[in-house]
Amino acid sequence: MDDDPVDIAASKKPSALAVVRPARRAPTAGDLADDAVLVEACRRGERRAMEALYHRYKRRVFGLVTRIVGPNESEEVAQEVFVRIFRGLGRFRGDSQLSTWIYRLAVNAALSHVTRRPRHEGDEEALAKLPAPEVSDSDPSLSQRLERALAHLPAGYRAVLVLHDIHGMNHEEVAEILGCQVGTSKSQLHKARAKMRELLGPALAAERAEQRGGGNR
Amino acid sequence: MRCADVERLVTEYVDGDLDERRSSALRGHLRVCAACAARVEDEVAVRETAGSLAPLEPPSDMWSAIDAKLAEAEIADARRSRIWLWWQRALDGVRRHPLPVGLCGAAACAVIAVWLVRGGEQSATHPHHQLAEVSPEVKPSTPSAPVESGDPCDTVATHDEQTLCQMQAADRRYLDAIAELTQVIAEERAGWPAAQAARFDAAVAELDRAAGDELKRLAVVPPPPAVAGRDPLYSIYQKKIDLLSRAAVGGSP
Repeated sequence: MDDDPVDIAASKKPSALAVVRPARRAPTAGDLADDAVLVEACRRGERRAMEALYHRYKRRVFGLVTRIVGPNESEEVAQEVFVRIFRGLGRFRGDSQLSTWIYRLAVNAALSHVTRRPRHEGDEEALAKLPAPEVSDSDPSLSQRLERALAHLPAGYRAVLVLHDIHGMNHEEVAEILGCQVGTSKSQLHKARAKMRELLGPALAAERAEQRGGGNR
Repeated sequence: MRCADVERLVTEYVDGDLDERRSSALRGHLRVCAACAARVEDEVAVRETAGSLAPLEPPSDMWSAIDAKLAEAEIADARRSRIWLWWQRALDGVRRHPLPVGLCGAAACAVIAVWLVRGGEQSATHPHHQLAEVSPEVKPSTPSAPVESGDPCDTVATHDEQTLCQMQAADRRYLDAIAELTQVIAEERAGWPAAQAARFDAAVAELDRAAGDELKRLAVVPPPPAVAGRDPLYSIYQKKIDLLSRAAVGGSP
């Protein structure tokens, strides 16, 4: 029972004058009930429930961690996140959604890992080599460039951009996960996107030119 | 609306978080400023592209690795001392109820601080210090004297007998503490790695040997009983209590 992180409205061409917000599936009562049942079963140590919980969140956790720490160490960090999740479920009070709690553990583990490890070029090169997934996007090369450009963002900007733009969260959720103010989340996203525009400048210009060319034909 | 305003508001505009009046003004500016229109298009492209990235698939054997790590952690838990488990439960309580437990903790700290200050003044941190302060001038030496503490040593006839009685009581307090800790350790020791258990046993044996030697020396000391003469023995007992306490809370011996 895997659920994808974001249900983005399909491939709309970017337009400055007609901004379309991504459609994001709101959690249903069924989802929440399932989470509550799973949590209770996991607390009792039921392996099948734990595996079900893992499959429910594996892509979200692994994707988030990979895009923050890079592909070389992502598996190790993601494993550590799941161990913390299962070992910490007894302390999950249900004040927030389970997904928010899990995201918080994942982001904290990933950011701690990034700040703890010695900084050297190899890590960023490895992140820059992150293979672009098989996307059905209009321009796979722009997706690939964006994945690579993530490596050049400061870790904090990277976390906000991944949570907001890739995982489709709103600023309230991002702020809750990161333990910051909503305004901080907004300002970090603004800076992250500005940096992205700078890093992707030529590719974005080519994209614009192609659209205009296509529009003129 | 100026170009600098567009740069400042572009993220809110693209995310649909800008109010209608400013959105309209921004759109008006975009109609006459190609650079800003390109800037907004780029922002939209970044957001749309990021939102269209496919989820990354974890390795197929990741669950097995997690399951193995969980099993490893649970086995390690089973080997931990009961004191450690009690301590973890207490920490969970602090996390769940930070305010009441915090207040209780603060109160407990205050009590301990007062006790330490007063205890320091009274030198009552070791079982035999109570004995060392005994003075013939202040202690009643007859059985008919009022007995407030219920101490059986107050009922003996002579000062030497009283000193001997109190030394024996101090010995008992040390040995009881050692016996109690030894019982706790015996349950934990079964789960220790062999090397750790061997180190612990060697350290205990060395202290036992030293205590035995000291007891042999005391056995041939002529009367009257001297309080100060037992200090080396009590020092060895205290070392053994420290060793057992460290082992009981999971420290390496």
